[in-house]
Amino acid sequence: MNNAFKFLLVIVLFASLNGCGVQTKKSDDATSTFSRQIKPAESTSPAVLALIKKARVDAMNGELEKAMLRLERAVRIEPANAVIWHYMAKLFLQQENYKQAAGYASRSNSMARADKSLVIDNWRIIAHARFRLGNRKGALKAQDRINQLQQ
Amino acid sequence: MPPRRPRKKSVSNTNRKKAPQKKKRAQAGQQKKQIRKKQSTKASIASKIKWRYVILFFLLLFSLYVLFLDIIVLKKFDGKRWALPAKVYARPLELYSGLNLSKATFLDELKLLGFRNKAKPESPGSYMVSGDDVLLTTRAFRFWDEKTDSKILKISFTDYSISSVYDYLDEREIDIIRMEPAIIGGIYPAHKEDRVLVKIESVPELLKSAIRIVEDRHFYLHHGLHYKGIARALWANIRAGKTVQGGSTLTQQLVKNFFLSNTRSLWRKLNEAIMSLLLEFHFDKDEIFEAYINEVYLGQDKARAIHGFGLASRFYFDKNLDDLELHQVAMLVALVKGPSYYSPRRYSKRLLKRRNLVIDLLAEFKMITLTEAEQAKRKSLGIIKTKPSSISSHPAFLDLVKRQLKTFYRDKDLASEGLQIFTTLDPLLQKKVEKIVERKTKWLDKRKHLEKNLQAATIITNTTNSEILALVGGRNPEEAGFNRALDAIRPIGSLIKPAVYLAALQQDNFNPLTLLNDKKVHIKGPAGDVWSPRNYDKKEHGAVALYQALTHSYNLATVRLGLKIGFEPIQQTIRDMGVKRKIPAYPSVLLGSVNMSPYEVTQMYHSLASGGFNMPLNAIREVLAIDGTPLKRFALKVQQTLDVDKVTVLNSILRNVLQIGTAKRIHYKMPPDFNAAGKTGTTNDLRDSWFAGFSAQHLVVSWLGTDDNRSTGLSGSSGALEIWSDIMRTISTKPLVFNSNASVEYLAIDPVSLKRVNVSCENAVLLALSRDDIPAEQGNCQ
Repeated sequence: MNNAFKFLLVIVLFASLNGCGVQTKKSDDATSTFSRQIKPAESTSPAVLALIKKARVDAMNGELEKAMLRLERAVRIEPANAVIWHYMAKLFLQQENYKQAAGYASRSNSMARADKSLVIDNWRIIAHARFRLGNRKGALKAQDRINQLQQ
Repeated sequence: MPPRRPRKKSVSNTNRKKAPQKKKRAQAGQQKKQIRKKQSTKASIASKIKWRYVILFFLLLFSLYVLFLDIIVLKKFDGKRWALPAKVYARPLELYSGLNLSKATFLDELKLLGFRNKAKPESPGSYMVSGDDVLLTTRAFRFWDEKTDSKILKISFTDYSISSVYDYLDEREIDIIRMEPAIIGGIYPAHKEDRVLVKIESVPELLKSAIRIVEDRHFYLHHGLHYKGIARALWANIRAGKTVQGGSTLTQQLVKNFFLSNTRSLWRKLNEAIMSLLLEFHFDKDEIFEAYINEVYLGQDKARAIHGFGLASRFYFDKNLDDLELHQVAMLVALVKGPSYYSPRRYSKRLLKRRNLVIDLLAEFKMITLTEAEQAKRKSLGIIKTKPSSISSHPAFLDLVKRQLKTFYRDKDLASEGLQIFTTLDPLLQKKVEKIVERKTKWLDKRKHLEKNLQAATIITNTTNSEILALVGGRNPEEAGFNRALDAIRPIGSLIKPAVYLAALQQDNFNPLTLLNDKKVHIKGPAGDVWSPRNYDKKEHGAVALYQALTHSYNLATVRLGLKIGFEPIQQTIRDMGVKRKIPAYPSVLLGSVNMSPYEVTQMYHSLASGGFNMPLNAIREVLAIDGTPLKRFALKVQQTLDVDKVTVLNSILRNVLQIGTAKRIHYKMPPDFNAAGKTGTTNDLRDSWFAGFSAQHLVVSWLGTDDNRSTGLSGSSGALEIWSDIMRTISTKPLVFNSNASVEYLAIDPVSLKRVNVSCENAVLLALSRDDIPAEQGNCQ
């Protein structure tokens, strides 16, 4: 696969990303703020689930900071819950804070090794964030990881 | 000019000459008189007009002056009224089923929040214990994101955790609830005025009546000045020849405290009178009374002035105003006359006499019965010995909060705008750590004959989000001043080694089993001097595996390794670990002859504790304005700067430091499920003793040394590790867990053959290895 083709693929990927950063801050498609595919694990405690639920409502209302604060509370309760870190990465993406989106997605990945779909989604965030930050090479590298994982 | 009269002809020459001369003179005199009269009339009119102008001018001036005073009165009184120090809060405690929290710890938190134990805990801020349950009514509180209402809850506990949180009003179990956070201090202006503001409605009737009876009985009748009172005082003073009686109303006292200096002069008295009238003109009595209750000066706590009954009640009795008993109310009112002259701690007899006078007055005015008065008079002053913890404890942590805020707010705003600062401090953990540091420092000090010179600094962070949970800046945690946690910049010794080894592991040709040479090394300096480092045990260990060299902190192997990989990758790794300080490139740096503060070490080790992420340490979560408007949030910043797998490998070696390495001496003291990683640090002549280590949940960095940099006689293991292990043992912390994954395997290695062995082998060492580095051969137990 040559680089130009890969780059095209990256761009197509961005379009498919939920809660994609090209949207305005108050997302019209707000239900997609938190990935529809990535659901909290069954072992997630009721306290954390309650916070995630509230955060989702906040995000739907465009109150991204409030949503972030609730997820921060959730992550204090379950620090190793990769899904919460993933949701936070998505919120950063929506806020167009690409540096943090990539950081949180990497952190999520460092905890979510067994959950392939979550890892892939995190790499998508990383690829998109890198692209937005002007790191084309890094974005292509992230795309390589996605391709590897999808094989 | 009047018309001239025609001259009459004269009879004789002389007579003719004399007679008309007389006439002339008389006429001239008359004319002069007339002129003078006219002139004087003119002058009097002019002078009258002049005086009018003068009076008018002065009246105008006076009006302008009154207007000026009016502006002052309105501006200060109608605006904020007080420079309000920023309120600093601890973290709020989140309650949910499954939380690792014992009932006793929860009750400690309630105590910090000022909750009262009541038979019927129906009012906000009250609780009762019933077996394994705690029933309580929470207070409403405004957080950054939402306002929580007061709730009646039942929290059920098992031995060490919460089993359920039940809401009585909604009649259902609730998933999670945030308690209000405890106040841990304030950021005061230079003159350090402090107050706890109270609303007039919440001030007990008895206190209000007592103030009026003692200070101003006609408060609700006069317009700011009580003329009869002034006259009576004046007469008494004239008779005595000195000031024996004051006729000031509450309004005048407030004006004096609020706007004027303490000097006694007629001019000030005049200003006081005008401003009192103005104040009464603009504001109603209750507003003035409320301001008085909050403003009156009631004592001094070193540099901090105690203003208002709200704070005085906390300061002297550690109680809220509405919890005060009769004799305590009377004491506070007695203090108004002169907090220094009647100082409760210095002149208690004098104050007791005046307090009883106040009690008598209350009885005289039928506010209390004679029996109540007699009972109250028999009581001692009942002032608390130490000041309540919530006022000015944890100065080292507050110092850090101020420094972090300084980037965003001016000192003036911090001290006057009444900002609400929500911090990350865990007050219960902080107290535990303070106690441990105090106790252990004392013990080690005695053992090493350091004559109370041994000093300490400790920082604890949450490894998840880099929040600072506790910070101790000296052996006496209450003492403000030199904050060693932030400002003791000392050589870090072997604490640097993980950075050297991580830099090596990040290169392809090094893994934990790579053999290094622990043999004497001589390095020539630029000036021709030779540096020959030695091991702590002064021995050479020959060929050792990389993990063994780090576990046992071998200096010679480390120097050789460092020289092999070069300074640049090591400097880069240290930067990636979050250290901003420039690290020089000379060989002794490899053994830690580089200075850092405990705070910087914490930042550095946080990158390992978090699994390879650089996250700036944070002491603040949010800042709110006085009215609860959200102003600023300090969100966690995450950046992956290190290879996650390599950090896992390194951490598995650092875990062995506590199992078989330089810190193994505490291992047997720890609970069986305890699992952590860390590193000891000792500097030349045992001047500094360090330990930095982390579980899955907490990173603890501990330093011991003296301010004058003398030898402590303590190594990292015999000193700082003592404090570290005590802290880790006391707090409930999640153990560090190593799991195998696609790229790293956690396995057992035989320390002699360095082959993979069964995990049940007695001497087997557990290590995380990259899948490419796993030895192909399976060995047997040695």
